[in-house]
Amino acid sequence: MLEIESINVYYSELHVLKDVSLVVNDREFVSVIGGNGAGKSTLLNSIGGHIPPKSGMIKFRDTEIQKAPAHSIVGMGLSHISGERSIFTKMSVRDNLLLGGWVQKDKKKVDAQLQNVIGMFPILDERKHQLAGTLSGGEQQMLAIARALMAEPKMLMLDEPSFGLAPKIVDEVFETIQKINESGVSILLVEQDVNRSLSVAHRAYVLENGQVVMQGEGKELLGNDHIKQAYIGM
Amino acid sequence: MEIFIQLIINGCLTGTTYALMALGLSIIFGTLGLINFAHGDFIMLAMYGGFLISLFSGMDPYLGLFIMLPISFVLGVGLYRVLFKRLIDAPEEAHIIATFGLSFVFQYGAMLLFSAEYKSVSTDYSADVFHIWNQYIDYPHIYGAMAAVILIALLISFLRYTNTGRAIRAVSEQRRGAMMIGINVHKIYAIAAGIGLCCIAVSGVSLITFESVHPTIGVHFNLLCWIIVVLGGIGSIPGTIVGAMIIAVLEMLVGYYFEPTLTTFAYFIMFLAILMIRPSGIFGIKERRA
Amino acid sequence: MKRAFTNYVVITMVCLFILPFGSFAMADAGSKTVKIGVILPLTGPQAPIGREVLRGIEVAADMVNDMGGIWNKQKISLVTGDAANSESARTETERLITVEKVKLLIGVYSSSLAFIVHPIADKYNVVFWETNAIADRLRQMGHENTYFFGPMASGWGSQAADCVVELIAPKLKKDPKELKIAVVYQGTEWGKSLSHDGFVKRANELGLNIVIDAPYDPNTMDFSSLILKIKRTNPDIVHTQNYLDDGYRLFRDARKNGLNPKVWIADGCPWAYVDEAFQKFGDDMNYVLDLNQVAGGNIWSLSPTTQSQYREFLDRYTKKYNVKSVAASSDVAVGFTSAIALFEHVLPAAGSLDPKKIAEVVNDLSLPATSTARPGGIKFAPQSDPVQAGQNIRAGVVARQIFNKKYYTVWPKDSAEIEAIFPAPPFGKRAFDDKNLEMLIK
Ligand SMILES: Nc1ncnc2c1ncn2[C@@H]1O[C@H](COP(=O)(O)OP(=O)(O)OP(=O)(O)O)[C@@H](O)[C@H]1O
Ligand SMILES: [Mg+2]
Repeated sequence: MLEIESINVYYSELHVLKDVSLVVNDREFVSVIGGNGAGKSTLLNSIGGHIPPKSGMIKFRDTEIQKAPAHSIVGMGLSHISGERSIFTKMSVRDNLLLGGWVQKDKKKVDAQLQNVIGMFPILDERKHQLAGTLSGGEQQMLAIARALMAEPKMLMLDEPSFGLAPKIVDEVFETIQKINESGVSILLVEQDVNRSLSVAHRAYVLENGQVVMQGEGKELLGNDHIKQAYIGM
Repeated sequence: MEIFIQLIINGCLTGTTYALMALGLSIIFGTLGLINFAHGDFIMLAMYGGFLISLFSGMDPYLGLFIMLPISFVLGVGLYRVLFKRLIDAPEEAHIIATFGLSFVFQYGAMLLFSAEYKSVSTDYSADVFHIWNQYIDYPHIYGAMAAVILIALLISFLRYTNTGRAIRAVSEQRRGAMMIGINVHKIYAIAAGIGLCCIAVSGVSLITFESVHPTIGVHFNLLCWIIVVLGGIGSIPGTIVGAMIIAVLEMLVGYYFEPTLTTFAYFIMFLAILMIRPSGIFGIKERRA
Repeated sequence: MKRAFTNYVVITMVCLFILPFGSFAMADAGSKTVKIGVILPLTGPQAPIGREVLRGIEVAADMVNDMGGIWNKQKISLVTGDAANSESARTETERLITVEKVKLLIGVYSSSLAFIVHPIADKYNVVFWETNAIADRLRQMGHENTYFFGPMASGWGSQAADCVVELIAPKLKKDPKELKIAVVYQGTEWGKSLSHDGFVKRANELGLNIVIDAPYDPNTMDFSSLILKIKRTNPDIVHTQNYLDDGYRLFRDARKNGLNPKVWIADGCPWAYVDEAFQKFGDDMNYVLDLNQVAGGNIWSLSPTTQSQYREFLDRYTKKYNVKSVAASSDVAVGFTSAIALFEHVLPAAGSLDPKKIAEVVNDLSLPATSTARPGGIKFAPQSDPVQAGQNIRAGVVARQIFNKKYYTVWPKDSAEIEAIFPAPPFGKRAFDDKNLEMLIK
């Protein structure tokens, strides 16, 4: 599904990602973990077309996308939910969702997908005429996910979806992500909650200082001493 | 009382004219975040557009809109591609310098093309007055108000009920969020610039039916439109309309009951007072730009 | 992107500085010339008038040059500066004096610009020959080498009050004291000195009945409130002073709100000269009484030489600038009359541009009304005069009534072409058949 070959990403002079390579297979759930400032968000932004890499290659479903603009990447089936949630707070929930289907030009399909998504998130149906800015934090995160699903992506990238949410809500969010994965959508997840993130992921990468220092199956990494020390604090 | 009603009617009619004038600015500033100090000069050019069309074809300026609207839209898109696109991410000083420059180019260009003389269009209804219950309303203003109402209704329904309209709202609120759902923001910005210029075209055409145009008429318009847009709340179309009405009615009341020399001064004071109470304007929501 | 932006800024800057000043590039010609600076608004809102004044000055220079020039066949060469706004008025005047080294300036038309430009000329001890600027206070600033060829505002406005008594009241068959007069004007220096210090003051001396004295903000887009205020006083006469923009709006809003005075006096309003006004208001412009320092309005009463000189000017102007007639914009005649008086009656006698020599000549000057197409004649108040230093005290105004795109001098009596017609019918009923004029022609 997604193949990344030794990309290098800079913020002007600052070299943030160094020769990072990563693969996400069809229907796979992949996590990326790493400390603050390791470059996780940068990685997702780079894949999403917001910060094109200086060198290296990113392939999505056999098409090179490292130079493609962000909006066209979404059209190809790769959606991105950034850390700042970026929902349209001054618009209604329904309008947010409808806009999620922007890349889908067939209006009937958008309507059908809207029914699908609302089925997954009943709370959004109740709130559909409310301004998105008036939703609670958890509801906003659900809306962000639902909106991304409106584009019927083949793969979803999420940046810290549990950030700032109550533990009970975090559970719900994780359940949702897993459900989406089970429905056939590949997942690339960046999370602070290493424990949880590794337990749900098929595979995971550890990013330190802009470099991939470790990779393997999620459960396997969960048992790794270095990981335990550095990220779980045991 | 009769006089009061007449003042309010006149204020509202002038208010719709003001709203029409400020609408283009509201859209371009609200969506692109572009600080356009050439807005008044755009209106000036649109007035000349209306003037030229009726000069050469003898048509009513409003009919000339069938020609002017497509041209304005294309110009807006072109202007976005050539200039605005480079400006939107530049610091605000660049907006101000560049659009001030544009304003001079427009003024001197108009001077060269049309000379400094005053030009106007006289229509069949220029002198017609609608006289009812001892109130006088002139047709050019009535038609202007009708044009404003139609345009505003079209614009609001466009923004509310079409995909492109929703995308414009989305992009103006959250550029990054819009990109993340696959919206080509530059295309939307270009469309918004085109629509902004179309609004300007309508206001220019409406103005030319009761105002004379000359190359520097835009200077005062510019100030007026900025005050209206900021007063109403940036990016809010209802805000722009309410801002325009407040200023126009205030001018009327101050001119009659208080002091005709202080009309401009009065709305300055009003402007400052409202911004003191509501810093982001009457309909403004606290800005959170991505 | 950065580069493109830089290019953009450079281009706009070039346009900014080259375009407005482009006009003077070719002015310098020949070696044996007398260089005279012309400072006028040539771009910007006041340009319609500034450019006309310039044309008049240019024709005057052409005529003098074709007759062999002045002082041993030296030709007059004009160097122009653009007083588009207060800032460029300042820099352009400085440039003309310091870079172009002119010793005499002519201009600047507008009072607000004159307040900026005159002190600069005074600072460098350069003679300033003012064509129009009328604000009274300009005469009281102690500029010893500044001369005002045209009338001063209060004098101008006070003549309008005389016109009410001498012309309008008899035509309305009323005692002047019975007439209700509304006075409307820009709340600017010009407006206050013309309307308030001039017209109202004189009207009070004459015992006239001013029912409302209303200055206004010229930026107002819709004057309905002011018009309604005036309408409530039900005036017989509305005396107005304004500029183009506000003049049009005021007249438009009077018409739309049904303010129908018997006489509409446009006192010193440049808008009444422009063809545009007819295009805009059509027949409703008929019967307007225009008071102005208009040149040529007195052509019947001029001496034969002055008359033929003025006709030559009209001829040259229409040919040179390919225009139909001068009547549409008399500002060109204002420029011409101011300049020709300087070139003909002052410079030859002075023999140089030395301010002292010029002062001597100007002091002795005393020419009758028949010697200039600008109404009144020429005689200057001494520079020691506290209120009107350097003022051409004979400068006057004429009243002209407008019919079907033409102006007919109706006052003062000895310059009148036709009998004035008052009261004016209400708006909408002002169509006028030119046949009626034949009976009125004197
Ligand atoms: N827009 C930017 N401009 C310059 N430097 C940036 C920018 N964004 C991030 N950085 C820098 O790049 C590095 C990686 O940042 P990034 O946001 O990718 O880290 P992260 O792994 O997502 O961290 P966190 O867990 O705190 O979200 C950091 O050193 C950061 O300071
Ligand atoms: Mg991050």
